[in-house]
Amino acid sequence: MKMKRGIWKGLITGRAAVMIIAVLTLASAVGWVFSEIIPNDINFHEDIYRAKWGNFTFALVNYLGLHDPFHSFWYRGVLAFFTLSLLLCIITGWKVFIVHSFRFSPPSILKKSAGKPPAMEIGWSKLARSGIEKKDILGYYEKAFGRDIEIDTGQISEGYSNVAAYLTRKRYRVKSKETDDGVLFSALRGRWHYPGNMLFHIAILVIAIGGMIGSFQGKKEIMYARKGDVLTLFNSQLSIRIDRFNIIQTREGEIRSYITELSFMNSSGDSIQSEKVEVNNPARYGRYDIYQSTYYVDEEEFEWARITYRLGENDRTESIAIKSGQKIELPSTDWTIEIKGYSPDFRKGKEAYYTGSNRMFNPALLIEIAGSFGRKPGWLFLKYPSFNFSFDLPVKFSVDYIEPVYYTGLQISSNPGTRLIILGIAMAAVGLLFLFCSSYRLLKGKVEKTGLFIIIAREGGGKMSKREISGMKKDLKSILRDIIIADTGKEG
Amino acid sequence: MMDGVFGLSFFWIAFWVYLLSFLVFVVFFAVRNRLPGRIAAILFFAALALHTVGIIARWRFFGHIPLATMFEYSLVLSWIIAVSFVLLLFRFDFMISGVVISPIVIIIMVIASFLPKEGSKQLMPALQSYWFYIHITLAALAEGAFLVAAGASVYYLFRSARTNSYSGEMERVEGLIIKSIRIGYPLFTIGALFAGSLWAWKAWGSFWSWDPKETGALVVWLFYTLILHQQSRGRWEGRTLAMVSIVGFLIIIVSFLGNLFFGGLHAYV
Repeated sequence: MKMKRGIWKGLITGRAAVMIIAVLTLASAVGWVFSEIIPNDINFHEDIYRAKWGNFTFALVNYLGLHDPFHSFWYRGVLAFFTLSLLLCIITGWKVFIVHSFRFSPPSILKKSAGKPPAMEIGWSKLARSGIEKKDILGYYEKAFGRDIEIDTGQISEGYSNVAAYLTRKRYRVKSKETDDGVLFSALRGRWHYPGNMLFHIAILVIAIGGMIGSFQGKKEIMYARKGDVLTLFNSQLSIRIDRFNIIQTREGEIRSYITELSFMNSSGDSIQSEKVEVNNPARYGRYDIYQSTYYVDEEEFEWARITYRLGENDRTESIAIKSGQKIELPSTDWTIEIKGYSPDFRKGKEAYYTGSNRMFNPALLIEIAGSFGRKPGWLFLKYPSFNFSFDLPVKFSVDYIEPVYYTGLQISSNPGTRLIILGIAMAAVGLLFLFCSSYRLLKGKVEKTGLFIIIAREGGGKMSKREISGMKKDLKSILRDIIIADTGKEG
Repeated sequence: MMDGVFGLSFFWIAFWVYLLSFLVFVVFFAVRNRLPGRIAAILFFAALALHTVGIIARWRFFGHIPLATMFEYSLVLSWIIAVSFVLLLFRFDFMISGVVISPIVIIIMVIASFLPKEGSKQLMPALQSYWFYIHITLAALAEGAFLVAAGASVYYLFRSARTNSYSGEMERVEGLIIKSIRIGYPLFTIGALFAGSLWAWKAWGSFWSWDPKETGALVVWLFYTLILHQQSRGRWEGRTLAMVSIVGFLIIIVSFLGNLFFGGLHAYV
């Protein structure tokens, strides 16, 4: 039982929190390095890496998950321990964090002689004899002057009032209690500091929980689709239809944006919502998020082509846009044109034509012109128009542009942890604002017959710098000196 | 001048003036005479003015805040650090901080000089978001604050090695280290981590991808969290604080340059 209590106490100490943060920092740094130096495909090419590293090293790397350290058991273990530590910190620390910030009362007794001297000690004797002190040597005034100057009850009240007014000006809230020999008081500033700290800690926990939910329950998939395709969302009743996909380029050819217009469809195939998705502007329906993730260009097929033809008689040029397999009438003629074939990388073999690759290295269209003369097929070349077929007609045909088929790459996500993460981030931002914009200070003091004593309370960790202490002390001496001077008639 | 590396001349001249300013600050530090300090400060202001003109010119030319590449980020980061000297000088009359800040500015500019300098008028689609301004600006401010802390730490260690007494100046320098970290931490948390996560969620559909830059930022954040926890426990003060602050600086540099070698989602910045 004692041991259990010991472990519990050990876990909730500041030292334990620091230890776990240090371990997590180290583990993250180690994971950072390993994730970059060890390829993440070792399980796909096991033979290669076994041969390269040897069986033992491969097994060790695989066991420790060094190829994907942030999903390894040891990193997850550290994260779990961090989360546990955070949870314990919140459970056990809320009293210190919250209660001390709002509920404070004047001390029943000022323990100025409990080992450590008060942080500020201003004796009336010293004030009276030497005016504003330049050095603060504890107990100096007693040794130097032998006898304490004591003030009466009225002056104690006046002294306290001045101190309280000063502290109020410094944004402290002051509470006091009169005793037989003086006035005890507490002064608190920055009461939102620790609630902010608490909120920040809770927020990190909320984010961690949201992340874990997303990690275990979330789904993510990248799907490629072209115009008209229908994609089912994670085997649900819901699907999306791609209505349009556009890549917008600048004049210099840089990609400005790529946009997918899509419709959400129900199980009956009815469109229930239309959305435009682009990078940084996802579409949302229910628990599904659709992101414009990437795109893919399929050069093996083409979407449409622009064919220009020049009528020999008056040199007039006409252009038409034609899709694969489409047959259309040629304006200003009584002929028709039809796309009969397409080769992204046209090559001529000994016996037949063929495609050398699926890339558009030498794109060519096989067209067929039909008219009163019958049907005349022939090839048109995008990059080498001098090789275009002549068709034995008084018209010259050429292909100006061939658009490959663009597939939009959409990421379909469903992450039930999203709301928690966003809530956590909002809480953390507010918490940080309170935490760093208000400085917690808790002073406990007493104005009594022999002087003013102030202790800087360490409850909740409030800490004042030496500069701040000396500045405050200087101000307080200046305020209190007037009372003494009025009483003794002595100038410093 | 009207090309992809617009504004470089200003930065180049600013770099040499910063260097000259640093040398005069060293003289000021050695002789502790106000005159070389003033000369150094004037040189520093001149360099900062050139630096500012370079940034504004590049901004106007490319039509977006120059934070889209690592080179541009380095220039803005060094500018933020330089501006911190102006604040320290006019707000706290902290002339000696010039000895600390000018070399950091120079180091960052030297790092920038090794990075690709081309810019583009067209931001890539992923960067076309208001989060671009929030995330990168706050991250630059935060890292600037951490780097000021690191510079002050070097100075602190240098001074403490020469004297055993804890003088008022040492107290001011330690105060500068603590305040810089306390300014940098919330900015880094909100700007680099939270704004970055929200932007990643908007653009890539995932708050966190364990990308090298993200992991680097996490390590930086955890490290400064550790420092602040130790501070709240009354630990890691004085020399220890200075040393860990310098370690923080090294982690930031590795995190900053990491994606040059590692790639990842942040490969372009």
